[in-house]
This record gives sequence, structure tokens and C-alpha cells, in this order.
Amino acid sequence: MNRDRVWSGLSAVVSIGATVLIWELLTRASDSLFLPPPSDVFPHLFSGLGGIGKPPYLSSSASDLFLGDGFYDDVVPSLWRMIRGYVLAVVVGVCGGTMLGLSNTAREYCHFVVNFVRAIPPPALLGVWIVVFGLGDRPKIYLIAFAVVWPILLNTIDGVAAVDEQRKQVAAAFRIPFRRQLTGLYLPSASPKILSGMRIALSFALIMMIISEIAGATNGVGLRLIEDVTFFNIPDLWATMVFLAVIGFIFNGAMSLMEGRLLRWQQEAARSQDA
Amino acid sequence: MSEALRVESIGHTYGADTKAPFSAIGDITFELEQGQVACIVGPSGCGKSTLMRIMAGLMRPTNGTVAVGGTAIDGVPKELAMVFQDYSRSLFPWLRVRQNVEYPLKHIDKPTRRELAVAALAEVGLYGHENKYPWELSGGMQQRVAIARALAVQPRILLMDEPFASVDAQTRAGLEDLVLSIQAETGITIVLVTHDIDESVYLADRVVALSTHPSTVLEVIDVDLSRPRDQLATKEHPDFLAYRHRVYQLLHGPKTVRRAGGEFNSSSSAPTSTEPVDMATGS
Repeated sequence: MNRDRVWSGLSAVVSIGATVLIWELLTRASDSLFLPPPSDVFPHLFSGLGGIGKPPYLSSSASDLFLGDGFYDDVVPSLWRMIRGYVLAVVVGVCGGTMLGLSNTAREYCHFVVNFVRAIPPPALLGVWIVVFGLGDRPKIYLIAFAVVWPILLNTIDGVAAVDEQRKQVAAAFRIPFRRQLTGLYLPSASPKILSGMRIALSFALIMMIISEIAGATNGVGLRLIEDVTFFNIPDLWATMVFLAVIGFIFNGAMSLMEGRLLRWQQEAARSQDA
Repeated sequence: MSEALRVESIGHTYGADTKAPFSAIGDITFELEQGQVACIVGPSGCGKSTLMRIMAGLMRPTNGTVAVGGTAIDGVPKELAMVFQDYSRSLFPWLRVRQNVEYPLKHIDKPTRRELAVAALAEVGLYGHENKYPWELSGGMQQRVAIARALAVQPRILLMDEPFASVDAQTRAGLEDLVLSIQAETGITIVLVTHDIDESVYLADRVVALSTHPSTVLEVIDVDLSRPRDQLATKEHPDFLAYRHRVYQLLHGPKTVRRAGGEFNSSSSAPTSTEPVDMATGS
């Protein structure tokens, strides 16, 4: 077990090292200005270009938790909007999905509307929502929530509608009040589906975080990307890519950890049934 | 003894207002006294499960009434608890064993609830397994958890819907004896649905034999075998074999079904030697 861990940690380090090395070799072979080698990119995580350059993401100061002004000025506002949008989507998706999952009639009535509204490409709404909600955080939060609510909503509907008939009869036969059936039966039973919807939504939220800052933004990682392109701060642009990849990786890891803890019963139960 | 359960002219038709109504239950009447064990036995598809759900108050019959302790039920009566056939689907895999047993007790304060759950688990021989998950236990143990969950609500009537159909024969005999010993200790009334004739006679004070759908009561047979019952002694007793014989013929002899009442009332002590012959002609 422990050996496996060491092994997988080692193989991760090796594969990252190899990737960086290939990246370095390929970009050195190319003489394009737009493809700087990682040895030029990584220093830009720590120090800006000065002048037109943006403040860096990382710093050498322990009192700032080794995070630079670029992190506090741009990454934090972006992530804070993303998290609020995501939480809003989870609340709306799980509540709405539970209601629709419980009622066949409601589900039939809403089926068409849900699929119709869902078909709107979310970025197309950015302009509309700036007009409706003005500038600032609100249109961005709503845009993120609108874009990522669908996998949560649809998975919750599926999960709640698929609760085992016999378990429902158990709840009825033991005269469990409806509210406790919700918390004790429907939501736990649907939790594998809900969490997989939340996982899809989380990676989608990161994409929408960037897109929501394309217009009407005064700070944020997305705005930085656009400005870096405009001012040809190419190594800064790539440094942002690396930083975003790290953030995405951390989110995904946190999600996996949570899923593993909450759904241990499901994996183990499936395993014991195979045996 | 007082009347525990009365099933009065129950009839049920699925889709009564559609073009193709299906009559599952024709007319069923029987009653049960407090502390008795009744086994409802019948061929598969005879509406046993429908009858069970009606008795549990989970379903409203098209005709007739079910009375518990003298009053007609409307919804699930609180004196009643149920054990379902498929333990893997009736237990909640996200809860530990003790939490499963506590789930129907959430209206009671925590220490009492825990006490009831642990006591019920001890009663079914699962002391020390409280913190396991159901899927960590064998099939027979999982069904014990389901029985403990039903006992923990301290019901006066226990309904069991083919409770041992999904376990192997060894486990099955153990669970049958567990149910009998719990019944002897608590004096609870038990209604058990089964398709196993031996099981019905072994467990019951009263066997209710049903016909195929639309099911009616072929006969209610009072089983007068001594208690406590024993897997060997009881099942080898001539009276056991005679009861078994009779129930078998009720269910399997297509010609004799109609005149069941007259024919078999006199044959309760049918010689066991003729049994194989009758079984051959019956099937």
C-alpha cells in the first residue's frame, strides 16, 4: 500500500519532469516568439516584466504565504466569483433536481423547457446579463451559475428518480416523515449521481470563470489573459496557463477526495457484490 | 386471546378503470389472534405480495378491509413492522448496521434510540456488529439486520414478505428458528408470506393457502404441532408430513382445488407412504 503510494508519487514526478523537458526542447527548436521555453516562462510566475507587465502570482515573502500581488489582485477575485457561482448552481441544481426527480408530472412538463434553455451557449448570454445586471460581479456569477447548473440539475433528477422502489416502501412501511425521507433516503441514494454532476460542473466553472471576464471586467485572470495578448506579454501569458493548470488540478484533487470520503459505501458495496 | 389481525373480503384489481383490468386478488378473508404465526402460502403470481402490501397499509385494496386490533386501518398502522424479501435493497448501504436499525426511531431521543437498536441487534445475534456496514455482512446476517430493524420499533405484528427466499438452505433453517424463538420470547404476531410449503407448516399456527389469481383462500389450516419446534424432530413427525401433504395437494392438485374443503378435512392424518404417489399425480 505504502509502496504503491511512493511509486505513484515517483512516477508523477518523472512524467512531469519529462513533459517539461520535451516542452523545453520543442520550444527551443522552434524560433517562434509566441512559444517561449519553460525556462523563460517559470520565472514569470515569480516576477513581472515591470512596466506594462502584470504583478506576479508568486512571491518570496512568507508573510504573504508566498503568493504575489497578481494572486491577490486577480486570482482571488476570479476564484471568489467562481465559487459563488458554483455554490449557487449546486443549490439551485440540487433543490430543483430533487423536486423534478420526485415528480414524474413535473419532470414531463419541464423536460422540454430544460432542454431548450440548456441549448443556449452560455457565453452568448454574457452581453445580455451585463445589460440586465450591470457591470461588477453579479453578471459574472450568474453566468457561471447558469452555465454549470445543468449537469448538477440533470444528474440530481436522474439520481432522485432512480431511488429503489423497495427502499421507498421501507420508508413508507416504517412511517418515516417525508422530510426525513429526503435527507435519509433520497439525497444519500442520489449522492453518487449528484457528486459526479458536481465534478463535471466544477471543471466547467473554471472555464466559465475565464470567459465571464472577457467583457466588462476590471480584474481577474481572464482579463489578464486578454491584456497579456494585447500587450504581447507572451511569457506572462504562458505563466498564467501554468498557474491555471495548477488551480484546476487542486480543485479536481479536492473533489476526488470529497467523493472518495462521501461515496466509500458505494464503491465498497459494489465491490462486495462482485465478490 | 384477542384478535390481532382481520383480513375481511379483500379483493384487488389493478387498473380497474382501464381497458385491461387485472384481478390479482379475488376474495380473501382470514383472521389471526394475538401471538399467532400465520403463513400465507400460494403459487407464484397469486398476489401474495399484493396482499402483503395491503395488510401493511402501503396499498388500498379495491374491496374489503384490514383491521388491526379491531380497528380498520387507513394507512400504515403503527403497531406494524415489516421485513422485506431482498435485504440488499431494503437496507441502506450508506448507513452502518446500528444506524439502519435506528433509522425508523428518529423521533425517539438518542440514548433510548441507541439502546433499542443495540438490544434488537443482540436479539437477532448480531451483538458486536453494530458499526459494520450491511455490505460487510453475509446475506443471512443482513436479513437479521432487517429483522432487528423491524423489532426495534416494538411492533405487535410483524409482516414478513418471503423473508428467507434470498438466502441458502442452511442459513434459511437458522433464520426460521430465530424467528420462532423471537416469537416465543416476545409473543409477537407474525404474518409470513412464503412459497415454501415445508417452511409454512414448520413455522405456522395457521396456514392460509391461496389459489392462483384472482386469488381466494383455498383453506385455512390450523397447524397443531407442539412448540418449540425442531428442524429434525418436527419435520420428521407424522403430523408434520400430513400437514405438508395436505397443503401440497391444495396447491398442486388442480382437480381437487374446487372440492378442497370436503376432501381434505378428513385426510389430515393421511398415511405418509402414499405421499410420493400423490405428489406424482399432483404435478
